Amino acid sequence: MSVSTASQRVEFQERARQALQDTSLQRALAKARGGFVDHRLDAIEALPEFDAIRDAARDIKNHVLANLDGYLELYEQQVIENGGQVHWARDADEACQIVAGICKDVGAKTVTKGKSMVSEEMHLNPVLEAAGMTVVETDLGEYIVQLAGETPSHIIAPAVHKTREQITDLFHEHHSPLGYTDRVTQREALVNEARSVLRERFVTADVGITGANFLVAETGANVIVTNEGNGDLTSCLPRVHIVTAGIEKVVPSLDDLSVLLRVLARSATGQEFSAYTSLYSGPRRADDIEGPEAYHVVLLDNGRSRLLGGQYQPMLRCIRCGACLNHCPVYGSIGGHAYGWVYSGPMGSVLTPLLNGFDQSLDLPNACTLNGRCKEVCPVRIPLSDLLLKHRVEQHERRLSPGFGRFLLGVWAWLACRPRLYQGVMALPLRLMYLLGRRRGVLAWLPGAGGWTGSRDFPAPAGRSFMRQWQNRKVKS
Amino acid sequence: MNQARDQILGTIRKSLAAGEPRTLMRLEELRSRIQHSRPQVQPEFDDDLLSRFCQKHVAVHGTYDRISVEQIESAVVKHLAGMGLDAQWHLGSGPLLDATQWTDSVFVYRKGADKDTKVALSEAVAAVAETGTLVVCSGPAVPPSQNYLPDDHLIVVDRRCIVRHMEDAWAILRESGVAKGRAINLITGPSKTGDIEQTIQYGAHGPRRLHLLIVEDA
Amino acid sequence: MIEAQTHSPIKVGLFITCLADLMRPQVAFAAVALLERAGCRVRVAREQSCCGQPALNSGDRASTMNIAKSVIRAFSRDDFVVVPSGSCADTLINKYPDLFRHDVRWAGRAQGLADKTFELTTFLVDQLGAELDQVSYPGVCAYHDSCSGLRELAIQQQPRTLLDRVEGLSIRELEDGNACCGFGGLFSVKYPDLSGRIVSDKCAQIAQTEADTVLGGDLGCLLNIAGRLRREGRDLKVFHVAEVLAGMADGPAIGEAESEDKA
Repeated sequence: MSVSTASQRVEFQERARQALQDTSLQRALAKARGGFVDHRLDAIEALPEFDAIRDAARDIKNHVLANLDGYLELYEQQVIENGGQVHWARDADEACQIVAGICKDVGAKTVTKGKSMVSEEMHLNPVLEAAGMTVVETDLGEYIVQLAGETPSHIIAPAVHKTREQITDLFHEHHSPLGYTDRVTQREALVNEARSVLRERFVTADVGITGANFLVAETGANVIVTNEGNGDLTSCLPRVHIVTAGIEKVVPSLDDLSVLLRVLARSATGQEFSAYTSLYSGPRRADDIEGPEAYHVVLLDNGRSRLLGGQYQPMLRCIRCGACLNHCPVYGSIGGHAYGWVYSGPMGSVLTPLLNGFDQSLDLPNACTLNGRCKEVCPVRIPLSDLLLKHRVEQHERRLSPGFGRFLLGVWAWLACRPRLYQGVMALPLRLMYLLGRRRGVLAWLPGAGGWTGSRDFPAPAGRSFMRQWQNRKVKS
Repeated sequence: MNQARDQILGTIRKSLAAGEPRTLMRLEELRSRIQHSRPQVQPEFDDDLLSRFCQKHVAVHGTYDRISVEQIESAVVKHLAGMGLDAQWHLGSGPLLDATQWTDSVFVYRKGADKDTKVALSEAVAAVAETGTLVVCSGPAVPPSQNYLPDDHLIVVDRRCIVRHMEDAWAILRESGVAKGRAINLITGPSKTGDIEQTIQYGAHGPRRLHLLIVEDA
Repeated sequence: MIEAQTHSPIKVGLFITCLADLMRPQVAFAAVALLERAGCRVRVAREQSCCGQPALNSGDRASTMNIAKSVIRAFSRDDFVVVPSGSCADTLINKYPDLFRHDVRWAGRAQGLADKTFELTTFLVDQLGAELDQVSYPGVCAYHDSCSGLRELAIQQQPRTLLDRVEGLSIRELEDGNACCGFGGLFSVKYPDLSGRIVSDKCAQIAQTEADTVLGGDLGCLLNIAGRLRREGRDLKVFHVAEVLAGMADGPAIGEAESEDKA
């Protein structure tokens, strides 16, 4: 494994700095922040059984992961019985080749996509485009970021980082050639314009690609949850329906599915239930008058199978609701793109190093205050902040963390185990800081902690430590 | 391809064996767990099914009329007229719709919806009181496009089809043999999006309005 | 709940915390005063420095274990260990046992320390049911619940219960009181821009309450918040909850200059 740490660090920190200075991004994030938190809280306060359902959801996921090979086989059998095909992909490239191959075989020109984070993980769009196909994202948020030449910055709200003004500009630029020459600025008009443009795409697409929130072993169905209905139009109208899904998405039965659905929408948007939850299995049946002629599922591993049985296995319980993003102060400050890969926020900081390589994302597990709110809100009780700490341990033990910091920490820890010496060594800097700061009560600049005092003062310490004062007090009494 | 399959399943087995000890459940045991699957924790509520269902349906921006079985056509026509729409629609299928004798004053299309479809009339296989959800299953005379392309989606619901929880709907689907159908669409309110400034806007890609005709005396 | 016997006072070891020791000794003095008034005999072990969070949160388990062992040894004689910080208490209570989970020699001792360790306000309220001496603090206070205390130790009601009895004091809740202040220990040093951004959000929420004082149970958060409030030029006072409860909040607040005659 290469040790390319320095440049990676700079990249995250640089992206984070740019994000903090991006006024449009900051305005968009500020607008989004409170809503998700409040709506989720309202939804769970209305459901006394929420915690019991979360426990059940966690247990179902644990049971599936402990028997993942078996459930995948059962699921596969059902898909085949329904007339569909299952493809297995070890990594993103393999998955892209499978999807591109299916599209080429049917002579696809236009491909519509319902939102699929796995296809983002695969970097599928460029592969299809290189093969001459037009790829259209149909989730409104994902469509907006596609027009902008970007990637989603949030699992369930891909364009959360875009302001209405930016969306107006994008639509005007891209829709004018299609005849929509009026510059629309109101939310309703923007939604209507996208509806009209995309409707044309839905009905002319040759292949529809969706993700899967769940795969049901009992029936062989893929489950797709949306509010817009774009996933359904992508699944129903084209000649071929391709589902891309991570191998961890399988659930045993419809009853298990119910448990997970009860926590998904509440955690994601604070809804009891999303507008559209659909189960699709296999191609159109013999006497159906519509529906795809072929149905393919591409199961992507991409490093997931290696995580089973290890300390990061709980991460595979993730149902991609985005609650941890919505409650993360770091995500709320910089948005998703600064994280550098398809998954962001706490779940991204855990998952990215696992799927992409530890040395590729050294900052992510460290850029966290360990406040634990992600763990608190997770609908399947993934101990996200604990997993981030495990990453830090692994970085330390593999000596991936910066050397100078490790050295300072080592010296400090050595001292901390020798309290009397520690107290002696601390006395001098303490006295100095006291003398420098006592007039104002704070220090506006502190050697060695320049960053800290970039945005806040450093409260001056008392001149002498408690331990010193306590010893003196004891002597006096 | 098979190589990838074997390798992925092999890695899964290897990883699991290296982890915490687990009870080895053979495929048959897993299959049996699925076959004997039971509802787990469910939200409890006291209100009667019809009022709970209606309340939840209205909460997600749906509208409804309670009608008798012979009023189906007139209720549809009246609802459409109220919005200035003609008496024509794409027609789905179900026990109530199939039994309705449509008069000459209305025009029904028995085919999949297209991009210009204004109105579709479907029948729910079940309705879930827990969440105000309609369950529509695809079939020879029920093309799923009717659920998503029209501006106005009307769904006929037999009051006796309202069940308490989602799991009760699954039980109906299993019994009637459609649990493995091509499309099972759970519909809870009209189409909407929050993707522009996280503010809800109705009619994203699917129906702008969802209206129910709850038949009380079927 | 513990019943104090007239003849044998409750023996409590005070874990000072490194920040109180170095930055704000008055917090530890206030903790001693509160415990003594509640009928405890307080011992301050000389052999203590820090709970080891900087090493723990940097992934340095070996160093943390060394520090943890010295803490476990230093407090082996005490009946109870009380900590005026939620995050340090969490380290002793939850993190030490986890660190030594597979160490047969130390697992029991770590659990022993964990079982007798309490955060200050939870000890006073949940363990002692203490009726504190009547003190007064004329102020409208915003209370900051620090994350480790709130989520790992469920500290939320206890400080409010105690503050309810302070004459002249009222509490205003923050709009999103469960949000982090952005301190995160070394996080604030490694990612100062991010940390600064988060604490400025926190301060904006504090300002919204129109409180004149900020209280909390964790000095790290309070230093962070006080530093940002001072930088923004806001004249809110920031105190550790123990200082107010012990009637010691009449001097300079955190980050406030000493008055002229004293300096």
